[in-house]
Amino acid sequence: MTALWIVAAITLAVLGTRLIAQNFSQNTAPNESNLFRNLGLGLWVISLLSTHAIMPWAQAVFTWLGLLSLVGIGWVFLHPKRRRTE
Amino acid sequence: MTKEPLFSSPLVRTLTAVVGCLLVSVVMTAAMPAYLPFNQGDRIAGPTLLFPFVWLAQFFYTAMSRSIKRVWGVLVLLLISHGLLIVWALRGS
Amino acid sequence: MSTNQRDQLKKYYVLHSWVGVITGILLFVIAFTGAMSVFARPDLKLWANESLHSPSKITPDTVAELMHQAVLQSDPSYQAEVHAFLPGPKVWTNLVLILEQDHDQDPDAQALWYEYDPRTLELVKQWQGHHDDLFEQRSQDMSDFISGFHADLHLGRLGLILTGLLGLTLMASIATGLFIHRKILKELFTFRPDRSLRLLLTDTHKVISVWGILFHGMIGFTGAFLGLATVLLVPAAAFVSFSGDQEKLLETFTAEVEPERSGIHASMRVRAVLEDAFNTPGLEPLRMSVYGWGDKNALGYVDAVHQSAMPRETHAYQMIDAAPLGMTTSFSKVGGISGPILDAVFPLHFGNFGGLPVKILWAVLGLSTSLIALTGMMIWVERRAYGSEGQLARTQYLRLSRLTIGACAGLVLACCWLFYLQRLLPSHIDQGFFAIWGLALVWALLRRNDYQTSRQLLGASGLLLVFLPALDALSLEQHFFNNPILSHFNTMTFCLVFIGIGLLALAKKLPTQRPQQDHKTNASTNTIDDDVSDMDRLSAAGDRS
Repeated sequence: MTALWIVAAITLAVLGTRLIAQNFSQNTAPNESNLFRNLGLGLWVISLLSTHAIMPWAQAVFTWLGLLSLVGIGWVFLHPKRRRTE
Repeated sequence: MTKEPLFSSPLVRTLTAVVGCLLVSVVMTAAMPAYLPFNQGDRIAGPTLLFPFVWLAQFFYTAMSRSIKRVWGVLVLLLISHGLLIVWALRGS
Repeated sequence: MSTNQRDQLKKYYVLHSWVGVITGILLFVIAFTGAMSVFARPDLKLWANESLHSPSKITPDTVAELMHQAVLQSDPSYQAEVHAFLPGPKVWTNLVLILEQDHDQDPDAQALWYEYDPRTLELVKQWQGHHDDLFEQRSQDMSDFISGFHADLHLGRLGLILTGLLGLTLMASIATGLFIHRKILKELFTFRPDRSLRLLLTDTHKVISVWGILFHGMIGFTGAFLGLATVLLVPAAAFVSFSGDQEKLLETFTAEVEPERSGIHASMRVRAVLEDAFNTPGLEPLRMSVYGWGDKNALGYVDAVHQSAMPRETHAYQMIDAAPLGMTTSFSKVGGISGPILDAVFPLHFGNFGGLPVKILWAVLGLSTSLIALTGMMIWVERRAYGSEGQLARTQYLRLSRLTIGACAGLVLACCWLFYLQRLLPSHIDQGFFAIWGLALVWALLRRNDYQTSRQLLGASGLLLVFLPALDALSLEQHFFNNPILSHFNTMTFCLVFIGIGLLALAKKLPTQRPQQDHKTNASTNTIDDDVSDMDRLSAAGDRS
């Protein structure tokens, strides 16, 4: 069960990051960007709740912040911006 | 017109940032329990937890201030005032 | 931007780069060994000590019996404090009993040390000496070596001050980095690996720094606090409030208090206390201490970790009837806001509050902190050796580059070599570690091409890791190859991780020389090309003015 919650927290953090990354893409209109950003932030919050499902709040917040840092670094390194966007 | 250097008195400034800030921060950590208005635990442990931030503030002030004399003035003032607070607290106890 | 603002920014930039270059190598060393130290206890200790792979005879019964036996055979003056350090991968490998005379009253107080093999309960070591020399008696393995090196570089108080100051300078670097990088949100998603070497380095530096800013800041703060606490902060805190009496300060705020002796003899219910602690769900007892042994008012404390709690717990008992007196954490007596923060400092720094997943997370993020230091050093050299910022000859900067590669890649090699030292020369771990690190450093300084040197040193590290399971097979009775399922889970996991990381290091094709497609650094190119970082722009603006 713990493993499932961990997988859920990681997946949601990745999906949230992916949507927020859209906010910085040149291919989306400002309104779309905001939508992506808000959806992404929403997924991040659910990811935090998934982390809380397996540990108390204090530990969950620190763990989730660490997880988010790693997911963010991983996402950006795996999806490099090869051309200039503005 | 000669261009003013980015940092005036770089050697003194570096020494002040490395040694002076550490000294003043430690003295402040020792003296702060004498005047902080918290319960005993927070009054003693609080300054130790604040130490990195007190040092950081002094370090930035030392590095960024235009006048090294002003830096010295502030640091000496902090040192003397907190030194006196320590003496006052020790006499009181 | 006004001249004043530009000057301010340029000052922050100069501060950031100089603080970074002065502390960069040391930061890499501390961060890399810190990432390893996350696993020091229990994982590395479990891997390093075969005795922990076999079933142990440690039970409340056996520990209580040995404690009673040790007390009976020693002089009554050694009953002021009786401690039992329970064997396991989180403390020491053997059961250690320590009996102390009253060191509060007598500065020359003596102590006794009895050490038992947990598999056979045989006495393997006995020592008597001055109270201050007590902890020099414990045997050290590679996990103790690496966590000790991370804490104080094996330099004692000076090392603690150095690592503490490094925490402060890390905080200063983070703050200056924040001031000079105005477009921080954009930088979260900007990584352009194919443009130029300098851009690859600056984007890597910024992405890792910005995404992990809270982690790096937390590590800087907790590192500064842990490094300076015993050498500067506790003495300073005790100076006014306790007239310099640090012992009194610690007694006031720590969980374990000594009882008022009644002078009435009573028997100690050690077994019942230990049974209570062992049977509490989720609790893992690490140590039991009895103050005032044999007295009616004697108090017992069980120091333990709880799987769902962040700080360590101390459970107090009345020794005469084993009645529980409640639980406190290390700093709960401090109370207020500071108590919980102090309790969180240690677990937060080492990531030991949420099991293996959090440890893995903390180790990878710790490695990212070391990468920030390394990329920062490389950027500093690149800008000066091949850019417009340097005032010295290129060879001077390249010398620093060689030193950086030797110290950093050499440390990685020495850390991999540490595993071999544990199996082959366990009593010469420190000499072996520093010898390899020193050789790597000399090798890097003698070589001309740092790219090739780093490739060679990392390749050698990868080879060492890949062959480590073979060394296990030669030196252990139960290992991955003869008993993959039944051999200790920890050893098997380590074997797979070693092979994985080793192959990764070997497969990663690092360049053999510096890429030549460096971007132009003239001002006109800078304005039309977003290649150039804020720092380059600042520098260029400063040069033009």
